[in-house]
Amino acid sequence: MMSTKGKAIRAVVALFMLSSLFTAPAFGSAKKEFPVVNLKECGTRNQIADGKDGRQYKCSISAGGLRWKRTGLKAGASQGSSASAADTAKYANVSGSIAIDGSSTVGPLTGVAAEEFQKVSKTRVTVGISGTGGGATRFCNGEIDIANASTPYNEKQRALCESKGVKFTELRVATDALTVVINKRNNWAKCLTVAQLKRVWQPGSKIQYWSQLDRSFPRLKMPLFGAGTDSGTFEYFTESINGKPARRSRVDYTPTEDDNVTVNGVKRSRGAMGYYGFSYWRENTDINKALQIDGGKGCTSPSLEAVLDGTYTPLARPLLIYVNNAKVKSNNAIIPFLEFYAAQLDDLSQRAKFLPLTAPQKKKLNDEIAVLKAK
Amino acid sequence: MSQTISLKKQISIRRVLIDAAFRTFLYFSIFTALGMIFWVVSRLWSDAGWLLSWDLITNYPSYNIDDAGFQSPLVGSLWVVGFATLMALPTGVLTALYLEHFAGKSNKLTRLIELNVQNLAGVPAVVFGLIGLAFIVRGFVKWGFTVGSAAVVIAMLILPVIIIVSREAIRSVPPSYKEGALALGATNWQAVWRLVLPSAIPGTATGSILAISRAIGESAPLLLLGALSFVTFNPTGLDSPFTIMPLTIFKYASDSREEYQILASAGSLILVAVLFTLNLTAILLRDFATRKRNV
Repeated sequence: MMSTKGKAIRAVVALFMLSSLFTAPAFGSAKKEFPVVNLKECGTRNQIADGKDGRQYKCSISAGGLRWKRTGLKAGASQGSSASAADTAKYANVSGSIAIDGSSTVGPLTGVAAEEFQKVSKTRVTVGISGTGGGATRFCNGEIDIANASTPYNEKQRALCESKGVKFTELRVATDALTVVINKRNNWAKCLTVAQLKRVWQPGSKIQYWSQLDRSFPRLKMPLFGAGTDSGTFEYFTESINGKPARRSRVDYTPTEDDNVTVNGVKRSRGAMGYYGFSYWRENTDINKALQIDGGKGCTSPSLEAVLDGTYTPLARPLLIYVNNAKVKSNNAIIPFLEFYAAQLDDLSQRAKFLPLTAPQKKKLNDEIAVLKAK
Repeated sequence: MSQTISLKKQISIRRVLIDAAFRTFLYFSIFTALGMIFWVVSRLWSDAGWLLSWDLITNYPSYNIDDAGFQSPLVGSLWVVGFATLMALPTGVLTALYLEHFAGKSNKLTRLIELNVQNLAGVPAVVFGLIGLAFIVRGFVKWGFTVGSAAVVIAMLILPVIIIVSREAIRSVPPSYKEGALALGATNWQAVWRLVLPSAIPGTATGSILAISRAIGESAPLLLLGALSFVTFNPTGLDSPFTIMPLTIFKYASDSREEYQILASAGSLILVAVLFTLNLTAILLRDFATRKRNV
């Protein structure tokens, strides 16, 4: 009697679990959208097709199912990787492993470079994202070959490297600008001066509502999102807004090493304000709104031109990588990687959504790599 | 007379009520537990079920979302947990055997070990990560941010749990088994090795499965051991850099772009599937071992 009852219960449970497997798909109605143009059903990821509008489309992941998205190329164009055939031959025999860590802002740029480089060579490259500070500690310990940094190393970090006997070369690989962002539904703030930003972000700031910043603003709570104290973004923002010495900031905000937390936080709250890298903003222009910054020369919105010609002050900055000089000698993979990195930089920074270097900056980078190679 | 009847009636009604209430409570409990699992899996399935295909497992992580897959984190997780199990399971079971059958019961050393094991089981995982960073990655061992370091840390994490459940399993073997064997002239070692340990296998296995399942989803200690990295190759040895499933999922899930969150859901489904497969295999093996013994 008991055993049959036990069996019955077990059967019910098993049925329940099984049914969960079959009913669950019903929740996720796999919407396979038919495209805007006359394309066939988009069935597999990464499938390329030409639309009748003369553009190339790619079957890509999006919310709710696979959809056709424009690749930005014309119909018939080949979707080649950024590496040319010459590169493939040049780096085919390079082997070894390269360890990279550091800024989560530079991470995507170096990450794409690493991904592409591993396709044309036999190397193994790891790219960590433990922040500029975390990367500096590992770099000065000699644990990694290259460190990503979104702000130049400070005295303390340089002293740490020196005390451990690590000599390094600093290379500028791209330009970044910080963007101060607000919610899309924020229709009162357009432009803030550096002084106003300082009033919000300085240590001990009492500003909780927008109305405290300016009488004309509504009395709406101002949740703040910013960079974690381990990140170069934090160092750079505090130094340029709150003044030297860097790293002084109010503490009652949501700190994060991950800029995406800020993007989502600002998206959710109407009064929210946050800051993160310009590259992230260019990916999230439809989610967050950028504030114009008045650095003394009038309101400037963060744009490629403003950042490159230096009018977007004080929130534009260089992105750097640090190379351990001693490791360059012992690890034959580093120089080819750097050369590949430099050669592909335009394409890479476009894909990682950074601002490319200007011609003189590029020349300087190539010269410095040549010096490293000769050492 | 009439009084006794009403009393009987009262008692029986109370009993029936209590019985029914308790039964309802039990059904409610099991329904909640299963419902939670169902809810989580169906959420994941509705987010990313349509994305599941083999290329998610055969591709490596990529910055191009349509090329991205989970091969290196999946293999990395299996390496780390596999080696951790290889280290912790024998050590844990043998420690339990020692404590139950060889160590003096009122020995101060034994009591110290017991106290330590129980404390270690309650230590937060991230503390093991810090210990690993200080002593294994840097410090004395200097193994670096490698699969080996991670496996040692995960082994430390699951070892106390394995010791505790193994002791319970060993203790539940009736003492008469061993006494009988000893009476027939077996040595202590023979009795324990040939009788007690095999009888304790089902209990030990169940506990170890739970410990290993926990280990495969563990992310906090490995965060400190360099596992939050972009790695597009599988580990080739204990000295190899690595990344793991939970942290790759975390990396994707924390991205603001919705497509990456879908990828994270797909990764979670894969992780759940792997966990389910591992558990099922372990349970089948355990049942097989038990049945073989009982024949």
